Amino acid sequence: MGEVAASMARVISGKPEAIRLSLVALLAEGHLLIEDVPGVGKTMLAKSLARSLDCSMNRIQFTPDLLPGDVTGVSVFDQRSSTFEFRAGAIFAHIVLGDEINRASPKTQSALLEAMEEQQVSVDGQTHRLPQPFMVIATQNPVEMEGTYPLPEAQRDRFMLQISLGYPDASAEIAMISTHELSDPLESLTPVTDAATLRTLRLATRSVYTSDSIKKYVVSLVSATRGTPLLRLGASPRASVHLVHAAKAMALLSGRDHVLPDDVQALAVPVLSHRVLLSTEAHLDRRNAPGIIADLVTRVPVA
Amino acid sequence: MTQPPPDDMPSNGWLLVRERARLADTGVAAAATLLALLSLVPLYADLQWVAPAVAAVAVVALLGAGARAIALPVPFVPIIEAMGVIAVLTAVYTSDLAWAKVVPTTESWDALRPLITEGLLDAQAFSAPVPTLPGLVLLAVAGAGLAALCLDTFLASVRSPLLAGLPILVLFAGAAVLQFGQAPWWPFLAASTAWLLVLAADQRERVRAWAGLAGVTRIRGLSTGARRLGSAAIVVALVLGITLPTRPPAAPAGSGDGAGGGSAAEGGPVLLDPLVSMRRNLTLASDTEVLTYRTDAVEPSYFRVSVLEAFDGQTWRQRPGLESGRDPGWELPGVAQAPGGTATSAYDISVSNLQNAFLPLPYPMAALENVAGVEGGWRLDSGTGVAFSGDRAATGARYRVTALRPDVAAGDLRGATLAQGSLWPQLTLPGGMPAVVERTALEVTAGADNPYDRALALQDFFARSGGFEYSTTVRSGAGSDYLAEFLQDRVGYCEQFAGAMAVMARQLGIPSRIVVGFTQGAPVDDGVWSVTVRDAHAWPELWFEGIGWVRFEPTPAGSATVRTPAYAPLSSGGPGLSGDESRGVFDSEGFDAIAAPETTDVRGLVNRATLVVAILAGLLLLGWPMARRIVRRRRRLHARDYPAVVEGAWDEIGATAVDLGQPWSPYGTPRQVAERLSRGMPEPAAAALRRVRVQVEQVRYAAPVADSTTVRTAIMERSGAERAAAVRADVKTVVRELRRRVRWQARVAGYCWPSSERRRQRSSMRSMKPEDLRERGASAGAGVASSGARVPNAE
Repeated sequence: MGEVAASMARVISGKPEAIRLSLVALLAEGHLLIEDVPGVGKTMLAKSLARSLDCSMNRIQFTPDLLPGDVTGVSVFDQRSSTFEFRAGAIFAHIVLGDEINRASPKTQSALLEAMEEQQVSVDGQTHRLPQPFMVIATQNPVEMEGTYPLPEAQRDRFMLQISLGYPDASAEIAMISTHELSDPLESLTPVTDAATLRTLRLATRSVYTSDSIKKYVVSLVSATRGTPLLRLGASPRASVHLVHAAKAMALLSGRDHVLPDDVQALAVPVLSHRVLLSTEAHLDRRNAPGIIADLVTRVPVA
Repeated sequence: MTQPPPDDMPSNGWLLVRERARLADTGVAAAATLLALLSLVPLYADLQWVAPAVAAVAVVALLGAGARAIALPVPFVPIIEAMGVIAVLTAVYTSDLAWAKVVPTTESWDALRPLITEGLLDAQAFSAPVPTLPGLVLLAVAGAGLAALCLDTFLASVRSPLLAGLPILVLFAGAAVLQFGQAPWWPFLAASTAWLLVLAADQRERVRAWAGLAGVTRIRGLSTGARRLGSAAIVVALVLGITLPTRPPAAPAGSGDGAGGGSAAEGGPVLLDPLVSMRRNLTLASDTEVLTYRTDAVEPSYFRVSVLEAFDGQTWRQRPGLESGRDPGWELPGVAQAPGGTATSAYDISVSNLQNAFLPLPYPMAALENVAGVEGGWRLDSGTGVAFSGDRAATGARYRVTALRPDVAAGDLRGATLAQGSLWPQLTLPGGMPAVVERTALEVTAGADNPYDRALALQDFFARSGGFEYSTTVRSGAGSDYLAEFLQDRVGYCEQFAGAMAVMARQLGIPSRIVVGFTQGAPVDDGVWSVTVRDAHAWPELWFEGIGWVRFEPTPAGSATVRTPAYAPLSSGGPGLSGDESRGVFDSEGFDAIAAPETTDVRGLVNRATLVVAILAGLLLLGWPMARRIVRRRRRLHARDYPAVVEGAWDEIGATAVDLGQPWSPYGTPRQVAERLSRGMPEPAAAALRRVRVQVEQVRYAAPVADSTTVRTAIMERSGAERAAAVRADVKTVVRELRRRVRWQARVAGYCWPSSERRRQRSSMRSMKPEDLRERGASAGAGVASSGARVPNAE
């Protein structure tokens, strides 16, 4: 995994945390939501991850006129054999990059999200398994922008992690310009691992030990989001499950066979902040979700 | 990764907030008690009780805050506070007997106890507003202290605002009941405000728990619910209370006996209760007029209202039968009608305010005529010379009395012999009279050889030569147990003088009784006299064979209108009267010698023991955190199994860091905490800390040994004891380094007054357990869900 990270870092300069979190999502069998302004490297991150893994990758550019069938695939009538034949949609790949997911109509969005959750696609009564490992990296423009359909809370909940890349600092940006000057850096990437290895690593992630006190800590952290007056909607129990899975992946990435509260703390903001809704009071105080979650982390005693 | 840098960890700030909240609870408890105490204001005639009561509340608050600051176990806090209340009582009432003015000694206890008894008796005897007699003030102070204690305990320790409402309710309701529904409106407002204060404090605390988690620094608009509800309730209650018709207070039935009721201060009905309310009348600030009369007598007689002849050892009572209006009469051998001559005076009496069913009458009386102004018949009891009706009050009565002008000569009285036989009910004394009473009676009258001289000697002893002082600020009562005390303290008022003389006279074989009534009052016009409540009086009448019942006046001139009868003059220092002799014999030292025999040594011993115990208790309190810290240190490092040792080691390092004022937060992960603590630490100590931290992580978070196959095999090879020893050594290294980093003052302070013990209790008391969180989260979540359903429409 260190190699994957190193290979990705060659393309994405100055964002080791984002790379690490995308690997966490990969290992923890979760999906990644990247919310950021255009042009900061969202697509590049997804592509570099897919390239480094030697996995198939599809990119879906979400637009308002994109249909669900474009995502999942359609049954086409074959006149020669007089049968319906399934034409796989763009979602049939190991890594699927859903670009600007909030530009598509809600119907299309939900088609993608269903596939994400079920790991399979049902068209005309036929169920088609998606390739394993399967991971969706969706990018989303901040909802304030024009012409977007913000994802409903229920659907945001399906994403394990939400990260935002942010603008690179000056030196990283200069380095980026240099790498892009001569050739596309993605071209130079060679796969460092394959799907089979990834499946093994995912199994290893599942077997990372989580002590009872860690579980308690996770639960009190998640419960705290439900109790605070600053949040109108707290995190779901699914969030607890995701948080523990992600923490396991983090522990594995750090070479440990058990989860530490530090893993949980490091992941609390990316796992929880996109699942909560701020209360009016918090809006008035000009707080934002990551800030509130980070505050909670410092205020819930470590078990 | 938006993990804040470790410096942002609210290690001390958040705990400080909690500490302040607890302090605020103590403050709220004190404020609520003070507000509730306002209910007592209408109960007392003046405000003398306020200062000591406020002092008691303040002492309770201070001790509560202090005890919690040193993390005393919760059950001990009220004990400490109770000791504070006792200290205040001691300081106020018996400071001269106490050690250092506040620590009670056996003597101060002895002095305090009767005051309490007296206060309780007074509380039964008086009706509001009561005079600020010591016993009653003591009750107020003790009550204030107790209420403050309960509120403080319920609010700051038990954290149950519902229970905290109880003392407020008791104070308010108790006061309201005692005022027979005549309570003014504002104590209700005060008590309600106190209750709201308590509720608001609770609300604030609850919100703060979450606000703290969510990082809210200002709390606004969250207790408005309680505030609105409370305000609405108060407004409704006040409006209802003012507009709804209320039943006027029932006029007190003047049965002449039992607990006094219905007397009010200014212009209220006057009820002359035999003895019990005498002092109240005497100490009243008001000059409510009881009766006026026109007479041709130059020196008018006292006015008798009732006659108390039966003494059961505790109280003087009227003869049974009179109370019910029936008069079976006792078979009195030879009741004489009046002593002395035959000249008469006429009294035209108009009673303006007296609730008793007795008419005030001069004595001795020849005729009672023209009773008008009150309905029903009045009967004259020939044995006692009182006029009574069944249950009608004397208020409004107008009547004419022809009274004999007593012309008794001392010689006649001296010639009178002792009453024959012991069948006289007026000679009966209950058993168990203190020996000192009879001894005193015998010694005072040692030089007298006839009943009259003996009576005179007694009167002189009380009124002049015995050194008695007139004061209405002593406790009331004329029971036998008070008698001995009265004889020793030599302070009292008419009731006690009359009682003492009557008892002594009986012991000397002279039949006696107590008369309750009024002195002649003061002239207001030519031949017109006015008698007010303050002229209420009690005096003894002694029986002289062949002459009759003769009034004596043992009360020293303290009340202005008291007059010694002409036939029983006080000694003027001249010879021939036994007063001088008695004075020589019975000075105060003589009484001390009688009252306090060889028990002094025992008392001294007890006092010394009290002192030692008090000092030990003080030292224990001061040393409590240190002692507990030492015990805990041992227990932490010598736990039985390895994980406990590791956890103990971690706790010990944390406690040491806290004691020495170094960064340590229960909210950080072991890694963060250790990282922060090891900044600037030299390598051996930092490495030791790191090793302990790794062990903590292993123990807490890694898979149990049986499941583990990889990481800890190397460690597993060593025995548990060895590993524990290694951990202990690491702890030692770290602790030594932590101590080295601070100045010696901080080291000493950290050892003697460990703040970790304080913080420990606080966090253990208020920190949220996951179960707790889940519960609250669930209920909060339910609320969110329902409001969340409305969100799409709202936006």
